[in-house]
Amino acid sequence: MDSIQLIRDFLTERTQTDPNRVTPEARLDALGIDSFTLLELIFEFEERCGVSIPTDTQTPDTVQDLLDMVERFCNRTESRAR
Amino acid sequence: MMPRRVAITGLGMVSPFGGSTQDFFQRMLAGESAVTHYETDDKPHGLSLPAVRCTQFEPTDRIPRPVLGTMDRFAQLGMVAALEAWDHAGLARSADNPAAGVAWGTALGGTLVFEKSYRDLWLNGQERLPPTAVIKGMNNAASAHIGIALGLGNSCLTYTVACASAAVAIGEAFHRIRHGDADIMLAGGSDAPLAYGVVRAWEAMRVLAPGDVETAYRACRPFHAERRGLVLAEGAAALVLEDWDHAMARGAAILAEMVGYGASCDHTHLVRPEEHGQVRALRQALDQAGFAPEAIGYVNAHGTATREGDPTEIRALKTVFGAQAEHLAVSATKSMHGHAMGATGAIEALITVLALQQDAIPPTAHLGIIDPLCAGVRHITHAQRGTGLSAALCSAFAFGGSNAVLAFKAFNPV
Repeated sequence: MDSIQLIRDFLTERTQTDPNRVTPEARLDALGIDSFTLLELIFEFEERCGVSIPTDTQTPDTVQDLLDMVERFCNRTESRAR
Repeated sequence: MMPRRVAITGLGMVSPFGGSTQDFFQRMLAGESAVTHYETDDKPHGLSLPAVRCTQFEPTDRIPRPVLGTMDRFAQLGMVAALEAWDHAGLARSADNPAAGVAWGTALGGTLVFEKSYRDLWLNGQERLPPTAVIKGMNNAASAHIGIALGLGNSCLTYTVACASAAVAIGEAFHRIRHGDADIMLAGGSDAPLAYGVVRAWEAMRVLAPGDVETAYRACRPFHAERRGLVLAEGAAALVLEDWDHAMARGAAILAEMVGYGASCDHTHLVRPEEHGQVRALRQALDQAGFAPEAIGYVNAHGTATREGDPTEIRALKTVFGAQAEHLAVSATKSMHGHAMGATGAIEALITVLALQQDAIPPTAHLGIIDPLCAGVRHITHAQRGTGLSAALCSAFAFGGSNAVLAFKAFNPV
């Protein structure tokens, strides 16, 4: 899964954000991702990976934080599946 | 503080005919029905009944796509009607309107999203729901979206009073302006009741009018000797209520004046309407308006075309209007736009305002043979124009015994 592309697609669709602004170092709030939009994004990732990211997981501040979080939980499932 | 006068300065709706509010009203005058036959392929038992649907409704050109994705259909319908009313009133889109609020009616709120969620969870093997489910489903979603879109900082109110929801919303909004609590209130209602479970539930009440492709258009026949019940409708309508001086000062076009609101509770039965409760609401509206019964030139009746409801309403009118009743023009426009549940009071208030503004009374369609139990008022079966209409009432009598009557007056600058 190309996680950063998923974020770009989601933001283009939901908030009409310029995809070029979605870089790893970009802050989520600067991209217009509020706490509710973040819930929707996390839900998208969960659906794609078939996992449930625990609610006590540290809230990501940047795109990289979000990518790391997705990487951690999605890869865990993929390795389990193997 | 003296009660303030309340002007109606804007109207908006989602018309089941697909056109403008003016087009809708002209069709009402012409006795044209929006009822069509509705069939679904739900398994194992699809729906087949007369209904009113806004099939040409296209919200994407009025609501930004990111917002649209967070709204159930009832909120989308409501938002489009509200924006239209606001623009019609000539009010600016501003980020902050601290003296303007919204009062909205809905009976069912986001029922469609709940129904979809149940299907996904129970039938489609889904384990969880998207985070938008809560905000789509909540009953105050429409008013909240309207408030955000127009920066309405005064109040964001939602009324769920079954079939009187929108009438109550308009009445309570009227009071807020009258008593100086707000300068402008955007008031109305929206509902999208054609959910599978909702239709089945209404069928169980044995009050839905039957009909097929050929006959659906005349399925809803209020006051008719052979009436068979109501027709479920989706829809939305909104009115801009405004402090009279505020409206005059900004040179707004005043469409009519709202002068009274009567509310009462039957306190007798959940579904059987009670004449005495209706009488109290009618009298309160007249008293507040300062109208003698003979001043009223038109009543837009609740008239749902149920066996019990229609005669009860006529009895109440006869009690209140006495000897005047036989001269009282009455029509039930649900015969054409159906019963939009929590939105219907707003649709009918909009019709009543336009009737006053254009001095044109719409008919009850398909009223061939008047039920003797519904006789005693002047049933309007063809549009009446140029009668010098100057004052009118609009009634909503809901399950639960909740009654609301709105009183309007033609625009008079004095």
